[in-house]
Amino acid sequence: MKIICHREAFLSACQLTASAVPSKDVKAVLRNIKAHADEMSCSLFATDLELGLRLQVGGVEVIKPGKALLPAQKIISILRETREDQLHLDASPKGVVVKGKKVEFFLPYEDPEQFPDVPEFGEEAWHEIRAGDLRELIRRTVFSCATESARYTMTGVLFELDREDARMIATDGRRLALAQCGAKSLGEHTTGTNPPVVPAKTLGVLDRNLIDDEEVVRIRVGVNEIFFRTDCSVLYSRLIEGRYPDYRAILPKSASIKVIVSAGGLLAGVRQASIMSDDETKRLNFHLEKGQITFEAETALGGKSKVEMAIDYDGDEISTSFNPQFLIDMLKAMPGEMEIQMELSTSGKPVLFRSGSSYSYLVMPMS
Amino acid sequence: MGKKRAPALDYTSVTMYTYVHMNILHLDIDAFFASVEQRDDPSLRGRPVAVGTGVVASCSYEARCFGVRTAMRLSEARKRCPGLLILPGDYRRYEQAGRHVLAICKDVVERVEVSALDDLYLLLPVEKNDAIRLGESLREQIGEEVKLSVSLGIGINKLVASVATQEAKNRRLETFGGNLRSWMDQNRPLPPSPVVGVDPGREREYLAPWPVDILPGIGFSTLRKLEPLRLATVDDLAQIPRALLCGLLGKQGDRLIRFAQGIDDRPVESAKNQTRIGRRASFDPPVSNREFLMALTSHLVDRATSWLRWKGHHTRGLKLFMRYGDQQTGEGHASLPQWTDDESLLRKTAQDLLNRNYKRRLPLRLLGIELGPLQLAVVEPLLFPDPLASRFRELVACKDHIRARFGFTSLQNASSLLLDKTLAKDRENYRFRTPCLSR
Repeated sequence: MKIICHREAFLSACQLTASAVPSKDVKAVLRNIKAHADEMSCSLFATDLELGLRLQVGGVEVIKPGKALLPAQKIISILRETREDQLHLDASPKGVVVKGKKVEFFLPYEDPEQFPDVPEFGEEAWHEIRAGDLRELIRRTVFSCATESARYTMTGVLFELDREDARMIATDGRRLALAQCGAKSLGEHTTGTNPPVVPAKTLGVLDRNLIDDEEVVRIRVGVNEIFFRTDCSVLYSRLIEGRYPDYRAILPKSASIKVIVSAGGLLAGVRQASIMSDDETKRLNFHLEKGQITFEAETALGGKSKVEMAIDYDGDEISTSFNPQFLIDMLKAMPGEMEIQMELSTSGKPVLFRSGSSYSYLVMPMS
Repeated sequence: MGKKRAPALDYTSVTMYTYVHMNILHLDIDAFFASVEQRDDPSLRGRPVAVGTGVVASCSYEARCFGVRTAMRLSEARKRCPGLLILPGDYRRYEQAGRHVLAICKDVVERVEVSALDDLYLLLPVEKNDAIRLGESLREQIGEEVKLSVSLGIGINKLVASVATQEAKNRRLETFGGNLRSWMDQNRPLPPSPVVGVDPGREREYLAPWPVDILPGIGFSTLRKLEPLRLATVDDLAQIPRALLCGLLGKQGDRLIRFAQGIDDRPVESAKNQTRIGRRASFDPPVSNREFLMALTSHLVDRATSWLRWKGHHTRGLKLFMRYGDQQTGEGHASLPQWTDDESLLRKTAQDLLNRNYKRRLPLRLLGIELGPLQLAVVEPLLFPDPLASRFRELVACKDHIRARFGFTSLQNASSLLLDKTLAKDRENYRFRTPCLSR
């Protein structure tokens, strides 16, 4: 393989692809990025066996088609540190030579055939979602995933695809985020009664990979795998196996108290009050009364905070308390001017934060 | 007759502009367990009594006349004192007596540190002579109310105060003219020990003639490391160059030098926020049976976790430590993925640690676990109830309830059942080598 690449474009492509390179030592060969040049284009591929990302690189002139393995860390360092606009990559059975006008690097040979195969997207049926919408779904849910492995399915996001819409649901057992957007099903593609659970890491990589909001992402769910395809990339991931808890059963059907607040105002109040909540207490008290909402927190050593915020409310007084981080996570993902409806019934019951019909966030109060 | 009460001290009268005298009073209950036994059973009075199984945990002055000492093997003790009465011990009664003494001290000063049940430090904002008077009235009050004798030492830091207590005990024995036995034979009551106070500024001088092992932290293994230096007294130690001692003992060397010079800045802490909880057991003879050690690990975890639940704490780590027959030690540490009081997880972790760290082919004489850091459990209710977890919680609550009513050993985990075959037990615990000291 012999190519001439534009250094900066090739660097950003390598950096993006490297997000699929395993951080732990799974298999030595996986610490490489595989480059594949054919007559027309050049693509990069990396995988940690759980997920794989293939990216087409622009600004590459192919002189001789072929394949090569590039050690991810080294090639990124080379591309970042050198200052030349164009670099020549020449791969032979001896190794890869990276050459500019004044620099030359030699990377020892590794056999490209040792690199695992790339599953293909397949062309039967798929869903189409606007990239901007898909990114919103990810950003508003993925922070709710469990990080501990006690209930493994909760470390992923439930992804439901119907005829006309797509839903992502994430929960760690203490809070639940549900986001929804429009989608188009082609060739009768739906997830039916057994929707996939996508690892949170995959969605993180996908999020970074979606650059243009208007481009269309094609999604295909297979047996134990999912594909996301954009114009110049394909992301493949294995799914998390196991039963996801029945989230529909816990969404409250009705609420006696409804309050409308702005996301930015609420975030400011919660942030200010939670200065005085620490890892030991992890608690923020909410007190709702006529015309105002009060946030209070306390540290283990007796520090206190009290923040008041005027709201439009004329009902009974009610108090409840949350882990403030749960609210901050959600509010950060919302535009500041967005109106959020807070729905409560009694103090011990979960509280629902709703933004239109497209987003719901359920938080269990602390006892 | 009205009871004599020690006057309560008022910290508010001390303003920050006056020079403040601070003295620390160390209080130690004499022959604690044995004295409680003699107090509660008149037939034991005047007779040699030892408490313990395997080794002597505590012995009365009558037994000491025959050369019986704490930590001596019972077989040896019996040899020295053929009429020795040996009792297994009843920790709950000792605890009650200890708490009574503590309550009396707390009436006098706010700041009391409980180092052990029979070992208290009181922070007194008065000068030495007043502190001695206060100590004497405390000793009298405890004698009247709890019917136990105590020894008291006073100094400007904890180290000097505790050494002064040792001197008080020694001086008490000297009053018998070195012949405790003839004193006892004449049925004369033991006189109270004097309250010993050390003048401020003379700490180093005071400690100088004492043997080195009077300092805290000098045990069997440290003494062995210090052997080549041929140290006899604390003064010898104080003159060793710091670098040499640190090279030999590491960080501990620095601390020891300071102790030897009479410097000790450990504060008197009344309610320490407990950051660790440990449970240990020692055996004599040492044990190498792996199944037994596994069962014991499970038992220790069971005891520690029931304490965790009682206090409403969660832990993030677990340490396992062991001492081999040749006094060498070994330990292992594991961090847990989340704050927890989950017994089965902790048991599995502890047993894994034992398997990984018990490598030498030597029997163990001590095995212990320690949970920490600890924090108050934050209960976050779950959106999706986990039926298995909630059933487990109910089971554990039930277990705690039964044990609170019928004693800890009334209910055992199957994993520690093996201990039943080999160890005697009472209501609250198995009998290890030192039942009362095995926490």
